[in-house]
Amino acid sequence: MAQLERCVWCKKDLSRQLSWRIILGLAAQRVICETCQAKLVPITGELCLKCGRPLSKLKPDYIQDHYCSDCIKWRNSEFGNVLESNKSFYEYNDFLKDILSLYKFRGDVEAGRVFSAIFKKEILKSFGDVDGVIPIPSSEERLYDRGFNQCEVWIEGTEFHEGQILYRINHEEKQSKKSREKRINRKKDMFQLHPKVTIEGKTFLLIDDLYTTGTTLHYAAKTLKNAGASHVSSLTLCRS
Amino acid sequence: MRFASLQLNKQTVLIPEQLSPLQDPLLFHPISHYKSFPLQPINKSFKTDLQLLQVLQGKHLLIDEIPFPLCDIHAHYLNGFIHIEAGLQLKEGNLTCMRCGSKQAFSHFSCARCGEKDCRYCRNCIVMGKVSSCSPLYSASVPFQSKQPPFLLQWKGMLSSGQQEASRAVTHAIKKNEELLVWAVCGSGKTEVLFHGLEEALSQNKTICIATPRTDVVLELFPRLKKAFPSINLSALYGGSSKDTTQFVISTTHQLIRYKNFFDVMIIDEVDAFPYNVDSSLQYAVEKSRKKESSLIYLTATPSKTMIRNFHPIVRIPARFHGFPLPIPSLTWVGNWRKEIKKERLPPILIKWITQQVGDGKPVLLFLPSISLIEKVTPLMNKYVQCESVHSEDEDRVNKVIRFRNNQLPVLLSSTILERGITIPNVSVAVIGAEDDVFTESALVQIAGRAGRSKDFPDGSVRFFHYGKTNEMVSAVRLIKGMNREAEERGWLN
Repeated sequence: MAQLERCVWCKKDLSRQLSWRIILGLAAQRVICETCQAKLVPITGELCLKCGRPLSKLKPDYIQDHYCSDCIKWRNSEFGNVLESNKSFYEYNDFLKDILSLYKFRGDVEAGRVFSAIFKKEILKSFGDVDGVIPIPSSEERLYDRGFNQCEVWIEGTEFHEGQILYRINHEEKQSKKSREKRINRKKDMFQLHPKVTIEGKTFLLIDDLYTTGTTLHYAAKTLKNAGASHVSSLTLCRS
Repeated sequence: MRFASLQLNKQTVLIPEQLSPLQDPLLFHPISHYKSFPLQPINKSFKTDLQLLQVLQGKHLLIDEIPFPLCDIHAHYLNGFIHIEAGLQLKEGNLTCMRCGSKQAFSHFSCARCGEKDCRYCRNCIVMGKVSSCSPLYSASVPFQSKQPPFLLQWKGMLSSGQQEASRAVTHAIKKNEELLVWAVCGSGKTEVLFHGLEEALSQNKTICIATPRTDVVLELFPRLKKAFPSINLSALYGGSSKDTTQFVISTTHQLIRYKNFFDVMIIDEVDAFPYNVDSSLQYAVEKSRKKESSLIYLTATPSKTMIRNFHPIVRIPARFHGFPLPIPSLTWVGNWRKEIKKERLPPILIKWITQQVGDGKPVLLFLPSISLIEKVTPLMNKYVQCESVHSEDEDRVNKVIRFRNNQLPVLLSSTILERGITIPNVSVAVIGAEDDVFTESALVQIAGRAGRSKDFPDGSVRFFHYGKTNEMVSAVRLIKGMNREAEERGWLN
């Protein structure tokens, strides 16, 4: 019996949704259905020049010269401009939250792999010249629990998928269970560099699933910059 | 997890990497690398942890589902009290998830637990935990021993003649570990038919499962059985509630995925209901969870044609417990109602019928083919009568049904979600668009079965409003009439 093509997320039959573009070979075979696709909300409009969040969602008091007030706080802190800029693909809505929970907590790698295409495309388009792409590493304990690193999956099979450069130092409570205060004002480093790599003068792109306060990415960027990296920017699946 | 295979006292034993004194990484492989999983001989002098065995009793669990240290679990395995096997195995050349039985929904990932670049995992049952190439499944290998308190069946009701006949057949099947299909019309009282058989099973210290595809049926059955068997430790298993195994469980068919070779009596209520009827992994779970020597009893008002053809024996209860005949649906042509709705109108015959029912003080339950139609019709209907709607994606469903039940809401619109298990005294029932594909013969029989269930109001009005008669509608009516005739012939009607 022929296998039905089903939406990777909702399992609905996809054969009814074969568009002419797919039949003529102009578009890739769908892996998710139109209904699911429509629930992903791409980030558009005028964005904060640094973190890429839509400025239209902020009150005018929180915007200053095309930057959001969070980014200005980062700039005025000890971190300064360690992280050049961030781009996020989608708004972190309830639907994406459910998909990410299926992916990260249930461990359904196939559900998360759907996003590989958009990451690969964007890396080729805008970051083809970086020296390294670094998925934010999980702690060893978390890695064993989950069995995989959710950000690493997205760059599997690319030339950038290589040896580990950054390590997470120690496993603490999950970011998502901490207050904003605690997340921004942590003191210790979160990451350390692999002792055998030299990154002097190199440029890097960090990959993460979610940009909320930007703490994780700033810590990772700081570790890289302190070790001599010339340029660090980031790409995340979503922005809350 | 990775295991090494060793010979200990002429036995092949699997040792997890974490607990092994061996250092050579080449000795360790994901558990699916091994082909046979022999049980270790029981060491009677081993001091077992009863709590651990209780957690594993009758179960088929992943390591993450067992809240005990790996070294304890492994010690029980070495001493023959726990069995382990690979979660994914090749069966007749096909990769098979041993937990849910799926042979096709596999994906792969680069696994940090076993280090394989191509570790496979089952997507079919992933919401209940991940079964991958390196996941062992654990079960207790020693049968359940329970010391039941003396019990009495506390139900004092009377069975109708039809119920009595079925009750005898159920008791016989349970005694002899046989199969039986109980085909009981809506409102015949099929739960009561089980009581004497269950009493028999409990007196023989048998393990019992009443399974159903639907959580709401679990929640409805639980208090009734608890009341009938108050001294029995009964557990209800459904999404989110995972409990230790007791001798008698009421479970969704989904939850049976976590069981293995455990039940002496397996009763499946609403066997033809979605998704059990279409999901072969649920059927696999039922087979896996019951013992080879066990009874299997199906209950339904609407068995499929295949089931009627292939299943023997069948016992039929054509009459309702109150002895009044089933209400016969009347078919009413309403023209192109979809077009009317597009023009934001409702067919006048429909409105007339509804307002008449509401005027007579009867609650009206209306079924529609799809959620999108329900959303269009609700505001139109509200111009005439106060109404609300429920469907599968409605979070406020339970509350709305309660308000409808309490006569706080005269009209309720529903998708087929409410076709089963809802009992509202004096309700009038109608289908709008009965010709739609979703309204199969069995759906229509179930819907018609909502009316006239209470003995105080035994004749309810049932209407199928349609734009062209279908075979399904005609055969639903024929079936209902046939049941009434049979009940009459057997002298079971008042």
